[in-house]
Amino acid sequence: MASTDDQDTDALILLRQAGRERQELGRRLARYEFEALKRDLSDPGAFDLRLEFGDVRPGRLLLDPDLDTAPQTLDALPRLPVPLGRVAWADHPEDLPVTGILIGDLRPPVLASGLLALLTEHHQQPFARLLFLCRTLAPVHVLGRYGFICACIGDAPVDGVGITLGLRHGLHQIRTLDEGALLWSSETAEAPHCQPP
Amino acid sequence: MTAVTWIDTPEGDPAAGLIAALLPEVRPMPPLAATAPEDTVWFPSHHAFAARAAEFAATPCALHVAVRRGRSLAADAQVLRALADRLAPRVTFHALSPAAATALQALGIDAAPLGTAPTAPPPSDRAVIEPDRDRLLHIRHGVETPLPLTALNWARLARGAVLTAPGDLEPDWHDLAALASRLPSPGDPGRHLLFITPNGVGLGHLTRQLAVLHAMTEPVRATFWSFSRAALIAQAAGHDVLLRHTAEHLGADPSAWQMRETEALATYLRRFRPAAIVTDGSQVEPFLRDAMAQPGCHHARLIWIRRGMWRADADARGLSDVRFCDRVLIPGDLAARADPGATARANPFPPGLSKTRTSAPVVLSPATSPLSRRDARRALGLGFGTGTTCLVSLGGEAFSRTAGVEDRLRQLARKARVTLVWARSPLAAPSDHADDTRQIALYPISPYLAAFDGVISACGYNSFHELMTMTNRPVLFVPTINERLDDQGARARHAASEGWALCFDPEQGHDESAVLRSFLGSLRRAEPVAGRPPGNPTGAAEMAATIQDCIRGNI
Repeated sequence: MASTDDQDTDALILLRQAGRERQELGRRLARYEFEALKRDLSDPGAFDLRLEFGDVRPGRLLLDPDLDTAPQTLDALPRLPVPLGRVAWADHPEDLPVTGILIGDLRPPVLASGLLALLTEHHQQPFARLLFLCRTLAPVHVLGRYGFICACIGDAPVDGVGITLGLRHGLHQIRTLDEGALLWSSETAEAPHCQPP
Repeated sequence: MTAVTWIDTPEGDPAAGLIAALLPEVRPMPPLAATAPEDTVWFPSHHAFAARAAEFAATPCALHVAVRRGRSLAADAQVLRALADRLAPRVTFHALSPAAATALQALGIDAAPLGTAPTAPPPSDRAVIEPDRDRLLHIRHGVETPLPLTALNWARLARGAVLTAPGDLEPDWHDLAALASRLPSPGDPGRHLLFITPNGVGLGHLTRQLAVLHAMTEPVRATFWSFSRAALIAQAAGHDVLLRHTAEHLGADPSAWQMRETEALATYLRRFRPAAIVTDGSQVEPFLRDAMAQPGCHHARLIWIRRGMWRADADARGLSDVRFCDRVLIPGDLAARADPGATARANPFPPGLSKTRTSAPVVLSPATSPLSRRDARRALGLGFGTGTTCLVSLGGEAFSRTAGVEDRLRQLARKARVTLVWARSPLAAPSDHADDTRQIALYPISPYLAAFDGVISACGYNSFHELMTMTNRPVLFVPTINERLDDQGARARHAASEGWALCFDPEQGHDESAVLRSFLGSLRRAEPVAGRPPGNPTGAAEMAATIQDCIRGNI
C-alpha cells in the first residue's frame, strides 16, 4: 500500500504532466489556427462578402455608447479582459499589456498584408493582447474567426477612444497597423474629466 | 458646456425611474460627480440627498429633492430645513403626490407635488405593490403575474397598468403609485427600432430580423446592437450598427460583463429613445432587462421574436421572460407538428405585460426577384448547360462537425458527375479543400436558387423555410446538432416524412453513402419535387404589422 507521501508525489507528477500537455496542446492549436489565418489572409477575396440589397445605401457605424458616458461612471464598473486570440499561445496572457491597433479604411490587399505581418509576429512571440480599433466593419468577420476583438470606432478621435477603452479594457496604447506608429498612450493622456463629450 | 440633468440612482428605489420620466433628458449621476454650475441634480429621496449633500456644497448647481413620507419624516424635517437654509436658494423640495405635499406642508416644508393630474383614461391592467413579498402582482383580465418589485422601470409599467398600493402599506408606497398615475403621456414614439442580435452559430437571428424589418410598410430607422460578427450584413442592408462583444468573446466574468453591457445599453436608450427594442433569441438577455429598468430608459416597447423547435433537453426557464415583454412573436414553423420541446406546449409561465402572437413562417424577401436559371448561373459564373450542379450550405459550424460527410460527398459527387458549389458563411473559415472547391460567399442566396439542380443544407429555421417555399428542386437536409441550436433533426425528419426532402442524420444511424448516392442520383433526373408548402409565406409581414401596431400604442 502506497504511503500518503507517495500518493502526493504521484499526484504532483501527474499534475505537472497535465500542465505540460496543456501547454503543448495550446501551442499546437495556436499553430493550427495561425496556418488557417495565413490561408485566409492569402486569399485575395478574404474580406469580400457579396452582399446584395439592391441600391440601398449602407447604414452608419455608430459609436460605442461608452464614449458618451461619464468617465467616473465607467471607472466604477469592472474592467473587461481582452483575449489573446487563438493564433498565439502564452502561459499567462493576462500579464500582457492591452494594445490598440488602429485599422483605417484600407484597401483589402493592404489590410491583409498588414494583418499578416502583425499577427505573424504575435504568433511567434506574443507581446500584447491586441484590440483592433476599426474605422469600418470590413475586418470584423475575419478577425472574429480567430478570437480577436474589434472595437468599431467610426470617425471618433483616437484620444477619446483611448481614454474610454483604457477604462473598459485597461488599454495602454494605440498604434497604427501599417507602421506601428504610436498614436496614443495612457502614460501621456490627460486625466479623464466628468463632463460627458 | 451643455447643461446636464443628473439623477441620483439609489439601488432598488423605483422613484428614480418615475421622476426621470418627468424630465426631458437625464443621466445617472456617477460616484463623486464633478458637476458644473449650470447642471441640475435630482435626488429621488431626501435620504439620498443627505448622503451626498456635502459633495454639492461647493458647486452652485441646482438641486431638486423628493421628500419621502417615511417613519422618520418628522425628525428628518428639521435636518431638511437646516440643509435648505444652508444651500438656499439652490435646493427645491418636491413631493411625490398631492397628499404628500399636504403632509409636508404641515411639517413646514414647501414641496409641490410632482407630475400632473391624469387626463387620459386609466389603463385596464393593474399592478398591485406587494413590498413585503418584494414583488408587484400584475393583473390582466384576472390573470396574475408576479414581477420582481424593481425588475421593471415603473414608468414603463405605468404606461399599461394602474399601480395600486393596498391600504395597509405605508404612505410612501401610496405616493409612488400616485406619481405613477401622474406621468406625462408618452407622445410620439418615433420610428426608431433597436434590434438586439445575439451571437448565433449561424445567421438565423440576423436573417429573421432583417426579414421582419424589410417587410415594414412604414418607414423606420433601425439600429442593430449586434453581437454577431456578421454585423456587416446589417450595415449593407442599410441599417446602423453597433458592434458589441459577448462575455464569451472577451473571456469575461459574466456578471462583470453584464454590468458593463447594461450601462452601455442604458446610455443608448436614454439618448436615442427607440420606440421599440426587438430581440430574437431563446431568452430576454438580463442586460437588456436591467437596462430597460434604469431611470430614463422607460420609453421603448420590448418585442421578443422567439422561434419554436427548442430541443427536448433545452432549459425552458427562459420562457418565463415573456412577462417582461410587450409582445412575443413566434415565427410559424412548417415542421411545428414535430416540435419536441417546451415550445410545442402552452407556456406554463404567466404572460405579465405581454401578448403572444404566432405568425406564418418568416423568410427574408430578397431585394431582387428570383433569377432565371440562365441568369443565376451566369451571375455565379457557373456557365449554362454544363452539367448538374448542387449547392452545399452547411452553415457556420457544420464544416467541422460534418467533415466526414464532406469528404464522402466529394467522392460520390465526382462519381455521379455532379458539381458541388459550397456556400461559405461569412462566419466560417475557408474550407481546407479551397484549392479544388468552388465556393461562393453571397448573401442572401435565395435569388440564385434556380442555378442549382439540388441543395444539400443544414436545417436551421431560415434555410429550411427558404428551401421549402422558394425552390422545387431536390433538397437533402443534414441537420447540425448543437445544444445552442433548435432541433434541426426533428425538422429535417419531418420534411422527409412529408416527402418534401431527404434527410441525412448521422445520429439516427442513416447509411451515409446510400443517402448521398440516392440524392445525387435524383439530381440527374431533374424532376421537380411536388407537394411542398406554398411559397411566399406571410410571417414577416404579419410580424412587421404587429410591431408597427405595438409602437403606435395599440396594445
